[in-house]
This record gives sequence, C-alpha cells and structure tokens, in this order.
Amino acid sequence: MSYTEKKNKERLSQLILDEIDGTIRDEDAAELHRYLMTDRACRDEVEGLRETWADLGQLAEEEPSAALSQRFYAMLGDYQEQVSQGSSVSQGGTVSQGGTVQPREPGFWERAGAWLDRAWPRGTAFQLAMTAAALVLGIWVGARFGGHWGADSGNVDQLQNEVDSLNRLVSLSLLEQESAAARLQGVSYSVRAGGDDDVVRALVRVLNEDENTNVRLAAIEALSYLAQADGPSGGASGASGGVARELRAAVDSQSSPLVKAGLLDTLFELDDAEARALVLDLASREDLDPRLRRFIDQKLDIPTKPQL
Amino acid sequence: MNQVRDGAVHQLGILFERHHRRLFNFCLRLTGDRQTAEDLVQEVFTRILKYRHTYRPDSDFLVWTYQMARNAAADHFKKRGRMNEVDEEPLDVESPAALPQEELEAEERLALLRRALDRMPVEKRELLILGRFQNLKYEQIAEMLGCTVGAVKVRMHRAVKDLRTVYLQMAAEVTP
Repeated sequence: MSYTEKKNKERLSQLILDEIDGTIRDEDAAELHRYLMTDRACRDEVEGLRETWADLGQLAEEEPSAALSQRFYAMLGDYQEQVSQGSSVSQGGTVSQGGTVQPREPGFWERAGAWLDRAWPRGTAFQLAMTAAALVLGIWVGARFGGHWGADSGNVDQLQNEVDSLNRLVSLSLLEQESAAARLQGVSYSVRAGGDDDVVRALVRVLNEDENTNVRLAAIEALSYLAQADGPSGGASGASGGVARELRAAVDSQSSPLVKAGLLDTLFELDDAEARALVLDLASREDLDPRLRRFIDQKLDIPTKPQL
Repeated sequence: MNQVRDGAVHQLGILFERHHRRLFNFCLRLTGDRQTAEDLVQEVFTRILKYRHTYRPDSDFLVWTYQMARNAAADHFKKRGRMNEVDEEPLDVESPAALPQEELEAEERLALLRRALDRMPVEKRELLILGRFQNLKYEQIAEMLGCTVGAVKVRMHRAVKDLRTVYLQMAAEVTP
C-alpha cells in the first residue's frame, strides 16, 4: 500500500467514525457521502457500524454498591486523622516538611494481611467454592494419611460419596443465590454432583423459573449431560426419559427463542422419540419467532430462504 | 484537585462523588466483575491521595485520573495473569416472560453485544469503553494514549469494526 493510499484509508476511517458518532462536519460529511455513493461495500459497513455504535450506547450503566462509598470515606477519614495527629499518626506515616502526610511503608504483617485480604475471594459463590474445596482436600488428606488407606477399598467409595454429597450441597446452595454468576456456578457443580434427584429437580426449577437466560441455557446443558451420563434413554421411565419429559414440558413455557432452540437441540441429542412431533407442532405455528423457525427448518432439513 | 494537592484532602470527597460512578463503570466493563471494579475504584482514589503532589495545575483531571485507573487495571490483569479475558457475569435481565417480543429481542441483542465486547482484546475494549461510555473527548483519549487524535479515531474505527465482526459471529453461533 502506497503512502497516499494509507493516508486516504486513515482519512476514511476518521470520517466514518465521525459519521457514526454524529460529530462529522458538514464539508466532511459531503465528502464521505460522495465516496459512499461509489462504494456499496463501504456504505453497508458504515450502516452496520452505525447500528453497533448505537447499540453500544444503550448498554446500561450500573451502580456501585454502597460499600464503595463507605470504604472510600473510611480511607479518607483515616488519612485526615493522620493529618490531624501531626507527625505521630495512627495508621503510620509521617508529616513531611511541607506539612503533607506521606504514607509509611507497610510492615510484614500488614503486607501479609493485605495479601490474604486480596487472595480471599469476596463473592459468596467463590467463598462457598473455596470452602468446599478445602473440605474435599481435608477429607482426602484424612483418608490418605489416616492409616487405613488401601486397607479397605470401601474407604474409596465412602470418600467418593462424601465428595459427591458435598458437591450436591454446594450446588443446591449456589442455585439459590441471588447472583446469576453464583447460580451459573451452581449449575456447574450440579454436573460434578452426578444425577442426584434433588439436583435434577433443582435444575428443572432453574430451567423453568430462573430469570436469567444464560443460567437457563446452562441448566439445559447440565440436564442433558446428566441424562446422557445415566446411559441411553431407556424410555420415558428412565432417568434420561424423565429429563426429556421435563425438557419437552419447558419448551412451551419459555419465551426466549434461544432457550427454546437449546431445548429442542437437546431433545434431538437425547434421541427423544417425541422431539420431532414437538418440532413439527411448533413449525406449524404462524407466530413462531423467525430465528426459531430458521433453526427448526435446519433441524428438519428444510431448505431455508436465503437471507438478504 | 488543586486544593487536594495543596493539602485540603477533604475535598477529595467532592471529586469522589462526581466521578466514582463513571470510574466504576469503566473498571466494570474492563474487568467484568463488580467487586474487582469497586476495588479498583478504591485503589484509584488511594493513588490520587498518594500521588496528589504529582498533579500539575494545567493537567486535565479526567485524563490524569483515567490514567491511574488504567494503571490500576493493568496491575490487576498482571496479577491475574490474563489480559484479554473478563469474567463474563451474565446480565440479570428482566424475566423474559414479562417482556414483549421486541423488547426481548433488544435485550438479547444487547446481552450478546456486551458479551462480544467482553471478548475483545483488552486494548480495543478499553478504547471502546473510553470513547463510547465515558464520554471522553478524542483529544483526552489521545493524551492518555500518547498519540494523535487522528490515530485514536483510526484505532476506534478498527475496534468498532472488530466488535461488530465478533458480535455477528456470536449471533450466528447462538442462532443456528
């Protein structure tokens, strides 16, 4: 690319950005629009970028928690206290010749405390996970060094049961958390817990009631995994059959096309005998979401209309 | 800020009230984690207090502060050893059942866009956040990044293009 071409390309980039953020000057706008009339690909690109730019502006701002203000004012209060106490200050630090307080270097124990404070996770989900990990490690160490390892293979089964039980406990607890991230972690733990009835029931409840689309999608994946881990379907009465029944029942109650598509996909994966009939029934509905219709057409191997 | 630099540290409270939400959202979009974002904002104001004597009267306070936020975030990423990943905390969107179809689609589109933003390399993500969400002028961003306004616009244009590419890829993945 020649120097002139590079400069022209950079100039075009700058004009496009000004155009999509609405700050373009009239004379520049005229120049850009003249160019766009000659380059359809670029014109389409500008339209796409304008849409993405506008959508970016719609992403919601979030509010920090009240703890942030509390922590800040506590820090500021400590600092002002240091100032008011002159050269001998409560939190350490010295007053310089200019009268300003310089924080002193923290000691070993303060550094160690700060490190522990940073290292220890603050989120409830992570705290629970850390606690569970510590318990599992404790059980393992106890079994390993308790003097009976290898003497009785029942110990291994017992240990496995305890670990599964702990995973179930953590999973069920996390699935009840307010934070969607914690609930996602609960779904993840449910897979480790195995196909326990309580866990499956909790996942079905999440699938039907959780307000977060991502959590519901994760629950579908977990249910699918648990159903397949329990072996082939075995008809409607098997574990997989029970999960398939719950998944089929959930299709109608879900309003998100993404979740519906996830459910149908999973039913096909599970070789559910009634999945095709369900899909055909959905396909016959006139008010079906177009994205879901496209998905169904693909599943049923129906050629779709080309997208313009 | 000049008063804070000269010793009236209580005035920092005014600066905190004025800027902490913007800084929080900057850090939140950069790291994807609320708690980390709050820690970083606290760290920024601690650094402002600590390094206040380095503030020059002719400096742009926002540029100076965001520079500290960027450094604090870079330190955080360095400690975590991951530069591009963010914690993809899912959006707590309103119950889909309560939303009309159009709003539901818009919610899903924006949720996908946010995830696409999370997947961008940190440099591009940072640029988009500074330019689109923090309402900083391109001149301020250029000063922060040590380049020309023209270079900022070129980089920003590329970043939006890349974001759209990632977004469209993800949209194709979730809508088979």
